[in-house]
Amino acid sequence: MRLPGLNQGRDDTNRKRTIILNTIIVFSFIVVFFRLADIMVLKNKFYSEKANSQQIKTEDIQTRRGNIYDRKGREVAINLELESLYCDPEEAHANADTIRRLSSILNAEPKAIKAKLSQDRRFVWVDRKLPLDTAERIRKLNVKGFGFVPEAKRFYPRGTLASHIIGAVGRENQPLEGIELKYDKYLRTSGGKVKVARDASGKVLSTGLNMETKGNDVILTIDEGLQYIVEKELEKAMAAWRSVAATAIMMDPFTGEILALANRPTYDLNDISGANRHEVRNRAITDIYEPGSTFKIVIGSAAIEEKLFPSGQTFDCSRGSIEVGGKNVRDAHKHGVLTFEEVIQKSSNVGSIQIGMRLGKERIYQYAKRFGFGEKTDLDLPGEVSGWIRTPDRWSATSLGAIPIGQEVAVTPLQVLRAYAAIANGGYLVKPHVVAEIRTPEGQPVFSVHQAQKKRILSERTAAAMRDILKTVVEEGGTATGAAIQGNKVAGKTGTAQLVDSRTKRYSRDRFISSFVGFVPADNPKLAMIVVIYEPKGQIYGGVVAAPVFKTVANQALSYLNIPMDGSPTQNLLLVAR
Amino acid sequence: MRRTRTNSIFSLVAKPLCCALLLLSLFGMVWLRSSVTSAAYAIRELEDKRSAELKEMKTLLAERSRLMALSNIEVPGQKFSRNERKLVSGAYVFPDRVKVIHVQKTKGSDAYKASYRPGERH
Repeated sequence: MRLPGLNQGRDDTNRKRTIILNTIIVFSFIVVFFRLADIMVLKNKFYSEKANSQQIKTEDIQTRRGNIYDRKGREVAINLELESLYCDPEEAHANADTIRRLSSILNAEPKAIKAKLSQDRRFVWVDRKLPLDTAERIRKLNVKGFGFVPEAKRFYPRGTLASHIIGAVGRENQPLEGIELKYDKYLRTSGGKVKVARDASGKVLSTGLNMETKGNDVILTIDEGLQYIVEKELEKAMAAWRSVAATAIMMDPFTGEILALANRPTYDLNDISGANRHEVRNRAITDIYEPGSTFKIVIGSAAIEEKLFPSGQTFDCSRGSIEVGGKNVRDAHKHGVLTFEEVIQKSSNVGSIQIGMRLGKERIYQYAKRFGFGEKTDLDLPGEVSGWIRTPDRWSATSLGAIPIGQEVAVTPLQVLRAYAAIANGGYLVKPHVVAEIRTPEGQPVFSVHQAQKKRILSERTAAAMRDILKTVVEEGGTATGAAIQGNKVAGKTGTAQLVDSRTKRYSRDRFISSFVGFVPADNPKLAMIVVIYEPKGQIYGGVVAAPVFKTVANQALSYLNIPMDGSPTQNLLLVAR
Repeated sequence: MRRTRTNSIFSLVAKPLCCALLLLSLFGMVWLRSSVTSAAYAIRELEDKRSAELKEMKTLLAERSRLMALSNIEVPGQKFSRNERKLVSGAYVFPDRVKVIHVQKTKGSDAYKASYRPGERH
C-alpha cells in the first residue's frame, strides 16, 4: 500500500530536482553555445589568424634562370645550388667559441660576425651563397637563431671562354651583360609563394607542387671548340705583338650564325667584380675604327657591278702617290701600272682612289650603305654601335681620296665581316645572330631561327668576280700570303689603318690597327672570319700581323669541322686521321 | 505481442550495432585523416631528400662541365713529332687534314679500297 500524501511529496521533490537539473544542463549548454559562438563567430578572425600563424607557413617558390648552351649542347651558363646563412640577432645565442668556429668556417673576421649579431633587426644576412658542404658544417654547430635560405648562383663552367657573348649576372642574379642581359626576359622566371601546413615540431606537409621554377634555356650558335681555338690564338697574337687589344669573329657566311666571337683583354665570368671596363668591352660590336684597305671591296664591287672598266683596264700607280683636294695620298710601295684586279691584290691606295674618282661620291656612298656600313647589323647582343659614313653632301674636298681607302668612315669589326660574307655567299647581306633557339625547361621550342634573313646587295656575277680577286690577295704577289692554308684556297683582304692621335688630331705615325678579313674554302665558303689587332708593336701591316692569326685559326677550325681539302672527291667516304 | 518482440530485438542488436558502426566510422575517419597527414609529412620528407640529392647532382654536373671544357682536356702520355706538334693546340689535338685516308666505296660484296690520295691505284 502506498500512501497518497507521501507519494505526492516525493513527486514534488523529484520534479524540483529535475527542473533544477534541466535548468543547469540547459544553462550549461547555453554557456557553451555562447562561448562557441564567441569563438567561432565573434572572435573568428583572431583565432583563425592565431591558428594560421602556428600551422601555416609561407614558402617561396625558388626561381632559377634558364641555362645557356653552345650549338652542340655544352653548358656555358648553369646554376649552382647554394645556401645563404642568416641570423635573428634577438634569438641568436652564440658564445665566443661558436663565433670563433663560425668565423673559421666562413673565413671571416670574428668581429664582423659579432657586429652582425649585435644589430637591432630580426633578420641579418651572415654570409650569402655558401657551398653545400660549408652550409653543412655550419648546420652541425647547431647554433640557435641561425638559419639557411636556398639560393642559386650563376656558374660559368668555361670561365673566360666566350665571356663577351654570354655576359654575366650580378650578386642578385640581375643581368649585366651579353646574352644574360639581351635575353633576360626568356631566361628569368617569376616565382611566387605557397602556403604549407606544418605541425608543432616544424615538419611541413607536402603540397604536391613543384617548389622550383626555371626559365627558358638558350641555345647559342657559338661552337665551344671554335671559340676555344679563336681565343687561344688571339691570346698568342696579343702576346706576340704586345698589342693593346684584339678581336676576332668567325661566322657562317650563308646563315649569319656567329660561330665564335672573342676579344682580348677579357674577364672571368665567375669573377665579374675583378673585371674593369677595358676588359668587359665587346670590341667586336662596340668599338669603331677606320677599316683601311678592307673597305676597298666597296669600290671594287661597285666598279664591277656598274661595269665601269673593260677587261684589261690598267691604272697608272707608278708615281706611288696621288693628290686629292690638296692632300697627297701614298702607296706603301710603288707598284707601277696595275690592272683592276692587281689594285685590290696589292692594296694600292693610288689605284683605289682612281677607281673611287671614276665611281663618284654618290655611288661610293650608295654601295657602302648596301654593304651595311653606317648602320647596326642588329646582332642580338647589347651595346652594338652603328658606325658612321657621311652623306655625300657633307664630304670634304679630300674625302674622295680617303673614303675609297677606308678612311673617314667608322665601322665595327662585325660590319666588315658581314660585308665580306656577302662576297662569300654570292651577294647576300645576312643578319648576324648568336642565338639559335630558345626552349622551355621541358624542351619545347619557344623561338628558333629556321631561315637566315638575307638581302641581295650584289649580283652573283659580281660576288664571284670579287671572290676571284680576293683569292689573289692570299696568293703570291698579294698582301696576305701569310693567310694561305695548305689544301684550301683562302680569299680575303688585309687592312692597316692609322689611329688618330688625340693630342695632335692627326694620323699617328706609330699607332695602327692591323686586320685581315676573309673566308675559306674560297670557292665553297664554310667560314668567314675577321681578325683585328689593335696597336701591334714591331710590325703594323695586316698581312704580317693579322693574316697569320687567320691562317692558324682557320687551319685548326677546318680540321675541327672536318672540312675536306679542295679537290677531295666527295663521292668517296672520307676519313680524316690524325 | 509480436511487435513488442521485434522492438526488443531491434533494441538489443541493431541499436548497439548502429552505435558501434557510428563510433567506428567516426574513429575510422579520424584514423584515416591522421594517416593521410602522416603520409603527407613522409612525402614532404622524401621531397626534401630528393631536393637535396638534386642540388648535389647539379653541383656535380657543374663540376663535370667545368672539367670537360676543351681548355682542360689533357692528352695523357702522348709524344708528337715536330710536324705533329704543329697541330697540337695546347692540350687539344686536332686531326691532320694532310694525312687523309680516302676510302673508295665499292659495289657488291667487294672490300672497300683505301689510299692516301684520291684516285690512287690500290
